[in-house]
Amino acid sequence: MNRRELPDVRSAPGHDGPVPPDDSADARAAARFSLGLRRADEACTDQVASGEPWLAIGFVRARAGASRALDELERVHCRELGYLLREAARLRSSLDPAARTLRWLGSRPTSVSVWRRGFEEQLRLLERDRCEMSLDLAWLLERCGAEDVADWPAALELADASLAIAPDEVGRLERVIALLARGDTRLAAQEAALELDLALAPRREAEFLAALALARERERRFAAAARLHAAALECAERVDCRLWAAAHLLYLALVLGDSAHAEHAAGVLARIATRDDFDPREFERCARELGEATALRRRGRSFGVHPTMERHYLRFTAASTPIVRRVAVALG
Amino acid sequence: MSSSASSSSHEPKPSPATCARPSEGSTESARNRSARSAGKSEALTSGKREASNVDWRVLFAAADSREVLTRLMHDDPLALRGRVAARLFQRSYLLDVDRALLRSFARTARAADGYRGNPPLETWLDERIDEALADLLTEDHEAARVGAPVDERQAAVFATLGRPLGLDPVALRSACVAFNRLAVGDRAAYCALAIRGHSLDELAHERGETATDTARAARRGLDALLGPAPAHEEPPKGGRT
Repeated sequence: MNRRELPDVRSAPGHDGPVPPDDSADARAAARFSLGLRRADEACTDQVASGEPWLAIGFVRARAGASRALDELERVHCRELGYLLREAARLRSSLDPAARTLRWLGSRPTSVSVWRRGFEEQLRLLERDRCEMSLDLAWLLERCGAEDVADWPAALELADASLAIAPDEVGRLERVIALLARGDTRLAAQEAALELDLALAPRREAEFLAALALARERERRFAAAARLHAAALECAERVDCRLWAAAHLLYLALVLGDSAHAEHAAGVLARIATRDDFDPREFERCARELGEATALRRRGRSFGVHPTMERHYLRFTAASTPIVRRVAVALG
Repeated sequence: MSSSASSSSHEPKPSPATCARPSEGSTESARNRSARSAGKSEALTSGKREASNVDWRVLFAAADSREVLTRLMHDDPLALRGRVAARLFQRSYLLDVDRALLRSFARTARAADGYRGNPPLETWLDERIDEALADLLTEDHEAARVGAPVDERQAAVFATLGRPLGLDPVALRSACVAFNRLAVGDRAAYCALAIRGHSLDELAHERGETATDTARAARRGLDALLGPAPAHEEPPKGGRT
């Protein structure tokens, strides 16, 4: 399944198409968090330019070249700081129980000690290169220096700061994860759907598809969620992303009594289980969380005695590999 | 662009990635072409030899990154231009080589303070260039995403490459973003066939695949540049795609 075949599940109910980006929100974030190099006094150029014409031309050219180079250096600092803030958002969300269950959507964060080393080095370089920053950014960075990661700014604020300084799709994925963790499902779905309108690397595409699928799952649009998880499975590169997307797909397929998707998901799970780099603990975590989700769902409706689901469940527990069976047992 | 002429106030040396379009019915033999490629490869690696002769301790000893940046931009002591061009050639990216060079200077200047001789200078420089290229690819994607205007300097570069494709600078930037996101094999096939003028059979032989597969890879490159074809459009007739 191609993501381009999924327009109905990508758009929010009541919307004909993807919601345009909230430019005003972007502008507000950009105004709050800004970083730049301190430049030489402009008056100096005017003095030279008013003197000898040839000298002035040479000076202005040299100055233009130097200015362009400083623009580049400024961007490099922004990208480095943006990366560190994005990593900080990942680390911060790893502490939040609601966000921890969504961590598979993005790459794993670096360790706190490695992050701290990079952060301190970056702060030193910013000072050395005479960089100036907005008060909001300075305050945010100061809070990131706290010993306890729990005292850092919220993951959403860190992701927004990262996007204001150096926007990229990885930062936007972190923002979507933070929104999902906060329970802002509608906005998360809008932003994930918007990303999918553009050319994305397959890995990113899978991550945004899976994020949108989770949002749809929370909106109880199970058929849409199942189709999105199936599409995410097709292009996912990371094993944990494949594992979780397949497990969610299996779960939804059993809920819906969709045997084609259930078989596909079970096949993927079985293949993952035979990989050399397969981590059974991750599988156990996955099975446990899905089991809890199923228990919650049962309270809301008679999921456990759904006849089609019951039939599929029995079939899977009888015929699937031990690892898939464990997931199926967790679901049951 | 790496695969087109670069526009700049400081005129670049002929870019190794700058290749003429293939002339129809070209009779150049594969042997001559191989010899030309070998010469090109030599030119591409010449920068590496020069870089190792530089005393990086002296070059990098400075009060701040700005000072190192100024030194790097003056006569390019680390021969980054050749190295950047080689990297663009290797990866078959459609990027402005001058812009990539400037960003590589900035990346190198920023990281210079932390360099202690390990890994070897050549490897370390290549890492900085890779960072610079990743930066530019991301920034181009972001610019295309929000529809940011193309600046004057970039417009001149895009105009040169866009004319034969019938694309204006803004459209070409989006096309390049889509192209640069393709698998390296697809990019390489397109660049080799359409820009450097290799023959299909020769390229397929080099890549160890069938001519059909090579043509398909190149076609994906062309499709990325020209944008998705309308649904009603018939596939082009003729050729081996």
